[in-house]
Amino acid sequence: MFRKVLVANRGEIACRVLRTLRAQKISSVAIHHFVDRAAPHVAMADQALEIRNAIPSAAYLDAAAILEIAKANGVDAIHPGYGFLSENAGFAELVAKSGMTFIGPSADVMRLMGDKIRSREFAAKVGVPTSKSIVFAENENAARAAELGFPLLIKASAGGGGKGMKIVRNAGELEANVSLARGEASRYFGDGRVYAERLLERPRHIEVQILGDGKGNVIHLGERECSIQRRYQKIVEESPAPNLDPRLRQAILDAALTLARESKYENAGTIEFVVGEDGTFFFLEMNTRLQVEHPVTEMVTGIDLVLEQLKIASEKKLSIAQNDAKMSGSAIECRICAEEPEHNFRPATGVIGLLRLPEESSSLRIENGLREGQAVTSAFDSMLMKVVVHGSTREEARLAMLVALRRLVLLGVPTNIDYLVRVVVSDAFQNGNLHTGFIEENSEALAWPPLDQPHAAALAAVAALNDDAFRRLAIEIPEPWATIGAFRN
Amino acid sequence: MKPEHENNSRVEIVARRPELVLRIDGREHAVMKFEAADNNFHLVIDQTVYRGSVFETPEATWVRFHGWRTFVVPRKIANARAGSSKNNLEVKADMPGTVVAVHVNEGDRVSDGDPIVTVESMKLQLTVNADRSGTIARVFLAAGATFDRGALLAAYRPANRPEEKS
Repeated sequence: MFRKVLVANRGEIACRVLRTLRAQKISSVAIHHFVDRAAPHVAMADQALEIRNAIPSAAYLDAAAILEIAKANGVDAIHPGYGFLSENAGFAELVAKSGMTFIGPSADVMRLMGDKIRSREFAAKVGVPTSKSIVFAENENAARAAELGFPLLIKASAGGGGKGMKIVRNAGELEANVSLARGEASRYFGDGRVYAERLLERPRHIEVQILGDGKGNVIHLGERECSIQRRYQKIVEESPAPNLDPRLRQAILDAALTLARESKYENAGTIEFVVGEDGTFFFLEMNTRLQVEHPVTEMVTGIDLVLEQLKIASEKKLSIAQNDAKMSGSAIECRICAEEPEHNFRPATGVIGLLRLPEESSSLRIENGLREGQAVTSAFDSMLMKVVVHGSTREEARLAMLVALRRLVLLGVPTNIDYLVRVVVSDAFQNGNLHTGFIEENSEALAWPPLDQPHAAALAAVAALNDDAFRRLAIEIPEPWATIGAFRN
Repeated sequence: MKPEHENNSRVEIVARRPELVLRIDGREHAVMKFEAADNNFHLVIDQTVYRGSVFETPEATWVRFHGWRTFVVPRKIANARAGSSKNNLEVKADMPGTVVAVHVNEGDRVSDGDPIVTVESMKLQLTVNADRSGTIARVFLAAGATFDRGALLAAYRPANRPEEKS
């Protein structure tokens, strides 16, 4: 096992990795920019070194400075977390060249999977379903598109904004719709070329956690359902995926194992699929690193993924077999972000004024890298922390999440906490009716509810009475000295 | 946290004895109790109990009703800002521009009013001065560098504060 590991990241994920390093009694080195000098990850590490840069995020991307710190401090491995340098094949190579271990897959696999086109070609070659499309030649008979299966989506090659788009549900509708689409495409874009692709209705985003030893031995640690997304980013994830047909689940897991095995994947990785309502599924992409949502897998399997990453990287073999990976119960994660859901989830900034976290337990994890007084700026990602719960059933986990979110107090920066409460209490979530259009489809149930009159009065009274000057006037000054005052808040 | 819900209520004191009566947006409400300690409040108004967390900034009061929802109430009259905040360690750019000159080096001691950097934005030159005495901790940009709005230009430690871990 490694003696000293540098964590090339910040925030909650740096704290997460440091926690396992501590538990394993492995020395740790943190890096930080000046703006993060008082952040929890700096305090948690045995050693913390500043990287100077005019742009805060650039400090965490400064491969040369990170390597220099690692070498100067006797580090034998680097954990990249997620984001920043985690999927940078060049960095992985530099780490190896410097005689240290990059905790992740080989640079070759990172390059293969990091390229959307190459990774899909590879998946198709090894028999993993990928989304195919057929581009029609001018005046070509459209019948050939039937081989993709139905329903189909006909799109204009030069198009956008839904113009010239047609849904075709059976072979009988094909020719007529392709002609219509060609006509519209010519009129709107001056280019009549169209193509067909398989339409997945109410698609779900389901991914599989993989561990591999780099020699073709791979195991899966179950799937994660990640369909609830805004701005193409996940905000709620869970494991196992609710309402997933067991045969379909097995097919998805098998496809993931095939891809991981054939690519001789090493370390922890995630294979993402898009799954249609009709059970059709396609490979989307592979993330060659630890995922933000990895704790839901840890909660249902009891396996510390960071520890497994360390073991694989140092011993080049898997410490667990497929049969050892038992899933139990259900886990849900909510991402707490500095944003305003009521304004199309625009990122928000401010200073964390008051932070009260619910007490952690075996069924509640708060993955946090913040402290009171810390500024939340646009310099970094808007995700502040994650709340992760486990229950013996999905409903038990859902209720635990509700309690945790309601106990979480974070004042001073606008967040999506109240929005997440509305997601978790919504009928659609309760019923496990999930797909990537969840937020749009349920926008009414998820909208900010109006404030009733009694609460509005209580709110105004709290704000007024909490103000020192007003409170003295209202309560503390003896009657004869007081003048009747007013307060506008 | 929706701005539409950032209440602009008018709160007036109608009576203080035998109990506090507040007129909030024209309606009278009896306040039986208000206690606030350690950022927690306990309010009894119109015979209903409300508990929660409260945090005041110079601009707004943040209120989270326990187990319920969070609201932001702007503070327009309360505490007109007195001077700059104690945490004002960082010299930031209010608009994008270029650094014309840096007047200090890291480790320099500065007094209130001493120039730190001169920047040019929208063809106007402006010198940013220290607003108290202290020591320059960092200079982030050199003369000639361009920066965006909100960029960190320099940071300094006020003289009366202990060294921070860095």
